[in-house]
Parts: sequence; structure tokens; C-alpha cells
Amino acid sequence: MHTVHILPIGGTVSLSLLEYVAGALEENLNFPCRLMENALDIRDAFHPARQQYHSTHILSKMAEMKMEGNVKILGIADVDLFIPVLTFVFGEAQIGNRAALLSLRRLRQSFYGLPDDEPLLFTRCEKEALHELGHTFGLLHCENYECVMHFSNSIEHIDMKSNIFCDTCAPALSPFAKHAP
Amino acid sequence: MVAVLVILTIAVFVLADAILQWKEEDVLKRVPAPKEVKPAPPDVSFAFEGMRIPAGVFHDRGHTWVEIQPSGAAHVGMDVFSQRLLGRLRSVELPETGCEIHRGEPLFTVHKDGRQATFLSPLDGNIESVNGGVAENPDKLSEDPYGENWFCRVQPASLSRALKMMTVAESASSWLKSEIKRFQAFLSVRPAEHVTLGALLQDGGQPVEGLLEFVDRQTWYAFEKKFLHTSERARTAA
Repeated sequence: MHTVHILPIGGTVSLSLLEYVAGALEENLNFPCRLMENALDIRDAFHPARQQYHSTHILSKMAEMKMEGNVKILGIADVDLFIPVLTFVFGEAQIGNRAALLSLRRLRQSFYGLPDDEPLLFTRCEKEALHELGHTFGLLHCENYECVMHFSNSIEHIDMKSNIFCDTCAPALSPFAKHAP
Repeated sequence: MVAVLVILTIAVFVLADAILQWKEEDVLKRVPAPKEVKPAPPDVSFAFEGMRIPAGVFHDRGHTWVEIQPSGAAHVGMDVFSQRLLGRLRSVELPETGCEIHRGEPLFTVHKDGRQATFLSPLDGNIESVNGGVAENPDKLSEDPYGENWFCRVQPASLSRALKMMTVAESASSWLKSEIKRFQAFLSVRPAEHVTLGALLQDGGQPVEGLLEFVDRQTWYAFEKKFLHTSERARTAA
């Protein structure tokens, strides 16, 4: 059985959001979750020219954190993330390893000039959390556009996909859950 | 007495109004100016932003272009798709004037930071001349990879047969659009290899201009194979 440690990073990640994600992960994946302190210093991951944070750099710092047992660590960052080849990323994760990271910035309606919508933000965040954690269990991107493991290069794609692992992807996770479904 | 009372009442009202107005103004003054909304950070440019192709230019599947000159000779160059992905080039290696070329064989090679990409000839024929201007200053390609910035001038043989295998005008733009989609899909399924973190996958974003500079060697080779259709054999021959 795995435990997911949820790490808020930078800015203001609200407790209600963290608790919502924790609840969603426990419900969907049957993994117990634990909330961590917002204590990771990410200042050196900032790229002045791009005005964004290097996602892989933050992921390295997370992977270095000492943890015992079967633990996955999910970072929820309130900063805009990038990798050199892409204009931005919603998230990044190690494949079949421990660390996963997602950014809230582009999940907020206000980023697109619209009034903020908390329930929508929470749903999007849940999908991205499941998606990035899916990678840590060895899942790659899925061609099924409704599957949560489908690749999204814009917010519309995130809204289009569901929060469910398709029949092909789901078996990768079940052996690790509390009770195999 | 009544008159005094009336005047006094009016005076009280006027005074009260003045005080209220003064207070209101005060309140207005004290409301802080709305905080300047920070604009979203500027994205680095999307690789295929505002991409356009000239109407009468033929595009081959290996991302070269062909433009027929009034004399019957053909200008051949590198298309905007590969230009945007390659970004700034260090140098361009052109074939020798006078040599015979065949469709599908290596025609020219571009170099970028110790890596190279070979483009295949879209035509059969003879190299009439090469464009020294592009070889001297490959940066010109960033302004326009078409027109003046051709790589070789070819005296073609069996031109109509070769042109039938290429796209032009709206079929060329829709083919390029499908290539962009194919490239995005190609990128989204390729895990990036990191020294300490191992294989990584990302969700989100669009390719940035010149992104091939940042990819690992395997991805570079895969790009050559899948998009320039350069085989292992052609690469070593180049």
C-alpha cells in the first residue's frame, strides 16, 4: 500500500484545496494521504527571462526529500511551471518513481481573464493530481481522450477529459491500492 | 421668531449636506487606487506562431520546399516547420555544384551545436548552383526560410512525377498543420531522460521555437527519422 504525501509549494495553496485533493485521491485510488508543510524553497528554480519556474528543478528537490516506506510525493505549486521545450507545463512527474508535481496557475479561471471558479479549479486540480500520480505508477500518456492519462496541452483538454483511469490504464494502479477493486 | 427658525433650519440642512459631501469626498480619496493587475507572464513564443507559407511553393514530406523558376530550374530549401523547430543554425552544408541528385537521397545538412540534420532531395536532377548567401549567414533563415533563402538551384529531371508527390497551396498548409499535430503527439509520448530523476513526462504546453536545441540525442534522431525521413544509411552517407 502506498501513502501519498501532498506538498504545497509557493504562494498560497489553500487548505480547502489540499483537503479536497486528498479526499479525491483517497476516494479514487484508495491511497491514504498526508498533508505536508509548505516549506520547500524554490527560489533558485525561477527563470528570470521566462518569468516561470523550472519544473524539473523543483521535482529534483522533491525527489531528494527523505521519506520512509512506500511513499509518493505530490507537489501542488502556486507558481507557473515550464520545461525548456514547452511554453509551460501543467505538471511533470517521474515515471515509475516517487515524485509528481502540478501547477495551479493555469488551472485558475482568472489566468484566462475569467472570474475565479473554485469548484472548477478543484476538479481540474484533481484530474492533474491523478494524471501526475499515474505517471509515478509507470503510466504513460493514453490515447483515449476521456482517460485522465490523456495528454493536455491546453485547459480545454483538461476540462474535456474525465477524472477516471480507462480500462487499459486502471490495472497499473490497482495492485498498489488499499484494497484491490 | 418663525422666520429665524426657518432660516436656522435651512442653515442646519445646508451645513449637514456640506459636511456629508465633504466626508464622502474624503472617503473617495481614501479608497486606495485599484491594485495594478499583474499581467500573465509572457509565454516564450509558440514554435508555430503565425506560420505562413508562400502560395506557389511545393512542399515535400521530408520538409524541403521546391519553387519552379520561369527558366525551368527549381529552387530547393528547408521549410518553415523545420526552421521553427531547429531555430538558429550554426552552419549549412550544401552539395557541390554540378553533381547529380536523386529524390530521396541526402541533399543538404544543417548543423546546430554539435548536432546535424540531413534533408533528402525532393527532386531528381543536377545541382546548377548553391546559395552562398545562406551558407554565409544562416540567420537569414529565421527571417524567411523561403524566397531568396533557397539552398540549391536544381535543373530537374522528371519534374512532373516528383511534383505529384508533393503538396502545394491549401493542401500544403493543411499538410503542415497535420505535421504540427503529429509533432505535438510525438513530443507528448516521449519521456525525457534526466540524469538523476530518470524518465520524466510532462503534461501541458506547446513546443517553443528552436526546441530541438533542448532535446536529448534519442529524440533528435527520432525527429530526423520520423519528420525528415532520413534513414540511418542516409545519415551516415551525408
